[in-house]
Formats: sequence, C-alpha cells, structure tokens
Amino acid sequence: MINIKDLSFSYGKLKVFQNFNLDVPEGEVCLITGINGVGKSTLLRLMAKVLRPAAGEIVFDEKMGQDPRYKIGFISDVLSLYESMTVAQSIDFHKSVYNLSRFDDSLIRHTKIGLDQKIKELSTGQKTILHLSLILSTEPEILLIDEIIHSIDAYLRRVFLEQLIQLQSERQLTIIMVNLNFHDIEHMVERVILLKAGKIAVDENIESLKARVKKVISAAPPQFVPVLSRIDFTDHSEFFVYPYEEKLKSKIEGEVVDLDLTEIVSAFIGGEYA
Amino acid sequence: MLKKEISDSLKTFILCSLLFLGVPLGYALDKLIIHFGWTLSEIFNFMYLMTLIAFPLAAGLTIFQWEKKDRAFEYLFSLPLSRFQILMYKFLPKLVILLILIIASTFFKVYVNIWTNGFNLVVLFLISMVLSISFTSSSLAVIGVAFFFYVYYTGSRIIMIFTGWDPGKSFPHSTLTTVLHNMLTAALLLIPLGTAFWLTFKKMDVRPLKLQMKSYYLIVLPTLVIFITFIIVFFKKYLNSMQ
Repeated sequence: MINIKDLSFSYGKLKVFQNFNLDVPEGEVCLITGINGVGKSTLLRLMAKVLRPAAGEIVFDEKMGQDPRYKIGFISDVLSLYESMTVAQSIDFHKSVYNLSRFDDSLIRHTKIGLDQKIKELSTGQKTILHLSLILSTEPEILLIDEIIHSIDAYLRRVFLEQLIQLQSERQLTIIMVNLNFHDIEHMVERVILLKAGKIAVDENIESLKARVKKVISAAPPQFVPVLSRIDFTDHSEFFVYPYEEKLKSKIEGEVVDLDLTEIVSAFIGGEYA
Repeated sequence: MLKKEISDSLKTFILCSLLFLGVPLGYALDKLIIHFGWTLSEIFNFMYLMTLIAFPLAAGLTIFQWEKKDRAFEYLFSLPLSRFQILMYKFLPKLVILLILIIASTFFKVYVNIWTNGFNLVVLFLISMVLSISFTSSSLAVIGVAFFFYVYYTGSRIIMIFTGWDPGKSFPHSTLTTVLHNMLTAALLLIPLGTAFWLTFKKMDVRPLKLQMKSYYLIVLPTLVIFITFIIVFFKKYLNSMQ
C-alpha cells in the first residue's frame, strides 16, 4: 500500500532520514515508536505529503489514484485546522474541497460539539473528533494518526478508538499510528516499528515481539541473551532482554516475565537513553 | 475553498473600508477646528484613494494570513489541491475586488488617470503578494512593499527617460505609452519576483519557512540589486526630468 524507497529528509543541517526504506501492506495496523525527536511525526508527515523528501520517493498503491491525498486521512499532533472557522464552516470547506455531497455528523453530535462553535473554542478531544469526522467523510484508504490519543479524555478516546476499530474491521483500512502510550491501542496493533537514529531498529509483528522481549527479575544480569535496558531496585534488578528464545529459559537465572506493548516499547526506549 | 477565499477577501475589503469613517470625522474636524474648507466629496475622494492603496497592500500581504494565524498550513497541504489551485483560489477573488474598486473609482475624482494608476495598484497588489511569504512582521512587510513599489515607480520613470520619452511634456495624452513603460518595468521586476515566489510556494511544506527561502532570496536579492544599481546610475537624469 505504501512503499518508501531510499527516502532522505532533513531540517536544514539536521538529517532525520537517510536512505530510509519501509513497506506497509494494505490493511495493516502499524505502530511507529521511538524516542522523542527520532522522526516519528516527520515520517507520518512525509507519508501525508505535507513534507517533501529531499531524495527518494513514497509510492502508493495504484488504487489510491493520481493524487493519493484524496485517500489519505491525516491527523497531526498539532491538530491543524482553520481555527477561526466554525465547525459548520469547516465541514462545508472540507466538503467543497473533496466534492462531497453529504457529511455524516453523527460523531460530532454524539460528542456535543455545536456546529456554530468556533474550532478554537473546542477542547483538544473535540478537535480530534471533528478532525476524525472530516477525514472519515472522505472514505480514506490510509489513516495516519499522530500522537494525539493520549491527550484526549477517556470517553472521547473510547469513541475515537471504537470508530477506528469499526472501520478497520469493515473496510480493511491501513492505519499507521505514532504513539508512546499503548494501553488503548494494543489490541489493534499488528506490527511495531521502532525508529532509532533515522533507521528502523525493530520491525516485528506484535506477537513475535511479545515472544522475544521479556523481563528477567534477578540479582545479576542474565547470560546468553542481550539486555536492552535495566531497572535497579535495592534487592534485585529487572533486565529487559531481546531477542529472547524459549529454549533459553532453563539457562537463565531468575524469573522470566511476559510484557505488554507499553513495557516492551519502554524497554527499547529505556535502552536508547541508557 | 473559493467560498472561503471570497469571504476572506471581503473581510479584508471591509476592514480597509473602515477608512471611510474618516469622511465624517474629517468633515467635522474641518468645520470645528482647522477650517481648510474641505468639502465632503473631497474628503470622500481622498479616503477612497486611501482605501484603494490599503486594499491591494492588505490583500497581498495577508494572502496566507489564516494559514499562518491558525497554523493551518499542515491541513491545507494535506488536502488534494495543487499549489496552482491554492494560489488561484487565493489570488483571483482579491484581484476581482481590486478591479471592481478601480473601475468604481471612475465615478469619483479619485485620481487623474485610471489606466496608469489602476495598473500601478495591481502592481502594488502583486508586489505585496510575492513579498508576503518573506516577512513575519506586518510593519516590516509594509515598509518592504513600499520600498519595492518605490523601486518599481522610479524604475519605470527612468526607463521612460532612458527610452527618450519625457513624461512631463507628453502627459496626459500618452496614457498608452505610460502604461507600456509601466508594464515593461513591472515585467522586469515582477517576473523574477513572481518566479521566486512561485518556486518557493510550489515546493513549500510545513518545515519552518526560513529553511525554505534559499531559492527565493537567490532570485529576489540580485533583482533588487540590479534595479537599485540602474536607479542610482540614472537618478540624476530622473531628478532633472522631475524639475
């Protein structure tokens, strides 16, 4: 669905990506993560075509048409909209650009957003829901969602995620998310990509990742398996190991514990800061 | 999008039209304090002229006002619109309002020659538009536009002298010649400036603007230097022709 070939991009002298390659197949729910400033949002912006690569290209599936932006829904972390407009004006504007004859505003009504309210008066959560409604009205094939879910309240987050899950099951959308908070989305994600210094450090299916990243609780560092990061306590330490193999279990001293997605990503990110 | 841009252009016009509040104020000032004997129509014509100058300046400089103010460039660039479409949607409504204002001015004695002054107002609008992306401060932008317009105006006078035509003697009968000289100067100035603007806007993305202005300055600054050199070399001749 999305094929990134030899992509290079920089902000002035700051090189973010050099010869970066990534392939995202149709219908995949993919999570991009990494430490702050590694280029997660930049990568999403490049896919959304609001940033232009210095070299290389991003190729979309033929069914996306000549201008893939018709079929890409992008919600950025800054929630860029015309804030001076009212909600109704914003809907009209979006409809006119995409030549839409109708607009399903049920999600907006459901979340008590007034059509006469100015966008700048809306809360972050309401803006996110409005943005999602605008995007979904165009029936996108690809959804690019930047780190926004954690900044909205629990109810709106549930509404937002329920919409995503419903769409994913109905229409096999390709969803690429950038996030550092995974509790809400763990059950949706199929693939995890960890960026490090402008390259892909980890690119694994979530089940495989859960099998290969473990926490070892022991007094000394475990042998036979590389340690990503560690947390020291007074009487013991927790070692996050990768790549772990089940056959090593008998050789490792200490308790081997399964991790959820948040802990796995924290382990990798902890290793970056170590 | 056109609807939004028409609405934005009308808002700019309404804002500039506030200058007409100066008509009753000026009249009251004259009657009560300064006693210059201004008539209502004289004050109205003056304020119309001020509006005619203010509108192209404001319309050009604020062409990306809402995108900058609302931080909506990211949203705008994510929409399936080509850069040419975006520019045309923004440019055409403002140009139409300006042309209506210029045509309407023929009903009043705002200035002597609609062709030359009307053309100069369109040039003012275009200069303001092409300079709009290079300034973050609006007061600096106004000074910048005024400077570029002075360069254009003086340049066109010097080109007239250079081509052996004396504007002082043949005016007002050679409107066509004046307009042709103005068009030549505008082309010499606006083609490079417009190219710089278009090349920058065509490739523009959501990176900080200062990282995207290299090609713009590489074209605009040499153009300005050439024009200023031209003016300095022939300025004495220009001053003599003014006397």
